[in-house]
Amino acid sequence: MTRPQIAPRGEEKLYFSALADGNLTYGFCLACSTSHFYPRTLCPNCHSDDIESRVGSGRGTIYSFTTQYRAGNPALEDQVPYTIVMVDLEEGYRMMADLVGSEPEAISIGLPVVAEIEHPDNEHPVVHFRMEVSHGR
Amino acid sequence: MADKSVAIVGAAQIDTFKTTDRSPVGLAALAAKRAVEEAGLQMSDIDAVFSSSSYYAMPTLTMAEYLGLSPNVVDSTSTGGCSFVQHLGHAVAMINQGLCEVALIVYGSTQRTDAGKLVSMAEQSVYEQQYGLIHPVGAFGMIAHRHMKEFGTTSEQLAQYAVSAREWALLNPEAPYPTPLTVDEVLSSGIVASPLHKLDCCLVTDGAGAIVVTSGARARSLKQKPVWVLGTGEAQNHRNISQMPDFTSTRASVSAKRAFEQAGVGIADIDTAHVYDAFTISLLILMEDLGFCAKGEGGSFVENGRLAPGGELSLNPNGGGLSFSHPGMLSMFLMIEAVAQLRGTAGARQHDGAKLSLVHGMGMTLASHATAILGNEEPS
Repeated sequence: MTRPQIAPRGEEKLYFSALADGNLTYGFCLACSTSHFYPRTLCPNCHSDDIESRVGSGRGTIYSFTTQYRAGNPALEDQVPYTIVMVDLEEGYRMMADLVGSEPEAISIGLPVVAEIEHPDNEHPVVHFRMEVSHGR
Repeated sequence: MADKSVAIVGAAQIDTFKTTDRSPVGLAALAAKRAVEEAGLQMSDIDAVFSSSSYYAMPTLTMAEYLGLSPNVVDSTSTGGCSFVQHLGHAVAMINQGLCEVALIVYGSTQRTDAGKLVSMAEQSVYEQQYGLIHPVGAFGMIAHRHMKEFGTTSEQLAQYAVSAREWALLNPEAPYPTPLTVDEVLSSGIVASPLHKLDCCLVTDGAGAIVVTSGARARSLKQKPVWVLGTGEAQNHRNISQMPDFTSTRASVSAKRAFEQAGVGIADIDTAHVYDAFTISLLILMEDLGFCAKGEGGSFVENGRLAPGGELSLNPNGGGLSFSHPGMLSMFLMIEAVAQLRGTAGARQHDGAKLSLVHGMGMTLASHATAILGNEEPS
């Protein structure tokens, strides 16, 4: 096991199956033209249920981050320290994931990042972010 | 006009660092007994039970059964650490509606004995669970980084609050660590979730607390000088940290405005403040949103011992969550300290002549908020 195990239901399952096909999706409301994430069955802005699942670019900037020196889950103990980022995507939504491939000192708010999808065998796919200008690791 | 006054008439806390041979509900039951007794009431007078818990999914059923009570109404509103201040507001409304007369608000936790870390039943979002964000410190690390970026707040400034809290705790004989703390010690205590250090985080303790609330008419005839509930307010805006619209401002401003308006007083009138300090950064942002200082100025506000004993404001004079007690959900203990200050029984840490206190609880990661204004002079 490489990641904490999850049990998605309903629309949550649809999101993870899109990820398994290589697509990072978000919710777009056709009534008020706003984006949201996580994907919902109705728009949190105008409450319309006319929602389209759209595939995003995965490009965004770091809104904030933290580097944890303790694991938040036993499955991640060998990953410490690891960094979790809150990213503002260019399509107008914000999502949380981890940031891979950068030393903690190289990370700061406002830097551009891009999403990548990992799909380990027999597990749910997982989104990571990576800095667009690699600082190596 | 009908008498709508409601007062806290009993308050007690027990085993606020470490307990022995007591379960969470067993510990809570003893706090309840002490609070009822010091009010000069019998357990049989209780006709409403309010509770929230990290252990019991249906905490009012669990509590009432353990205490041998069959209350007329219950409320297990569960919004994280601020739940008990919300319960207080709801108790005022229920008493004024005639649904009950004597309400018990009660909480118990043995998280220090259990695991030495936060016990939580709270589920994680499937969209976030894979990443191993430590609840709640990981989210507060992100909040702190954002506050630093926007306003230039420093780790030294955050550490200043931890130092002030410890100075207050040195005046509290029940506080667990009877030695002063320095900024350097906070900064060298090791980073848990950047930029937050171990000593930017609250203690992990056991503890139980209870308060008894009743109508003004009943309160006037009881043993203790009543602590009047002058105003309450609540607000919320997210569950998951990713959904917090702006990491540096909260709806504490909304709950506080409601409470102040109801009480008919302003922030300059407050003698003692009891504000949720799960982390140095949570305290700092809440002080801004409550109106003690301007948005972004929390960093300089906590400097120069302004919040230490002898400073400008008696803030968390028992030592707060950072240096007194934090059994998972803190707001119960904020209220109990406010009651002690308003009764004038707080010993070496007493704010002389305290008449008005503000209590502010927050839940989860600055997600939910409840404010109460308490006073020891009967409302006109």
